[in-house]
Amino acid sequence: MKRRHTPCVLLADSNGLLRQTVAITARSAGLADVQEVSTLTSARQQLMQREFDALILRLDDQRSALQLLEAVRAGRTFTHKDVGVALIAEQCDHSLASETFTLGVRHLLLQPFRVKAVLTAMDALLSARPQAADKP
Amino acid sequence: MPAAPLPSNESERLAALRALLILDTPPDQRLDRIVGFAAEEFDVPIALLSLVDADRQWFKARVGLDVCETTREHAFCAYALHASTPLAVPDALLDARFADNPLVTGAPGIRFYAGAPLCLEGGLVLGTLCIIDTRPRELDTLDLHILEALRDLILEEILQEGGV
Repeated sequence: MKRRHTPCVLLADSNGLLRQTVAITARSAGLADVQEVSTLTSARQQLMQREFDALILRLDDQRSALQLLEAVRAGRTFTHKDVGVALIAEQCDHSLASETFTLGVRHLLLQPFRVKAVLTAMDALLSARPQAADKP
Repeated sequence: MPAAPLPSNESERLAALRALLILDTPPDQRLDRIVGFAAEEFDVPIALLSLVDADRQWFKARVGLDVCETTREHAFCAYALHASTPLAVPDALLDARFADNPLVTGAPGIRFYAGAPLCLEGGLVLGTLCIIDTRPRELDTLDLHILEALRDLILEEILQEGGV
């Protein structure tokens, strides 16, 4: 899982224990530096300030989360519009599946899930970056 | 069953543990939550925050065990005091240190154990965050990192509470 240069991942989730465990583990495993925030508002602020290599967002407020993702895909944030995204949700119906597919979401983590599932999704997102292998 | 050797810094270790004034204190909601989270993450029936005192291990937080302490003589965690990295026992019945341990041959029937040491600066180990199963298990590298991350959160909480 270790990479030559440490990428940075934005994790927005209201569960502080999950966030901290993911962040510490990702760092110690050499997978990524994780910028953790508890709200979508903070996530939006982060996205307006810097670039991330992958995004993991909880859909507590589904509409706001999808609007934020639309802003990313439209290139209205500092992060590359094609950035890999995983979403965390309580459940998924046909409408959500369709919407997230359209927005290029690569992983949908449905509860209950484990920290390991988040880290595995993060690793997959980072590995799928076009520039991941070439970055000096 | 061979008894776990005492760490070379045992007296300093016990002094550090007692200075925290944590032994025999009431449950702590946040520590309970982290230990419960560990049990769910690893899907184990037992998870413990074990503090190893002179003659006993006392559980500050516990999932799946009714008792609040056991003798140090039978404590798997006593073997985890010697390193800063986790001790993993995939199958206690195949490990000479534990095969005839009463906690293996009798209730709760431990087969798998993994304990991440609560290590202070200077190498003093207070105890462990440990997960236990009644069937053999293997942990991969990422699992061990996750266990250590939860251990770090516990250590941070303990030291904060202890004013260290």
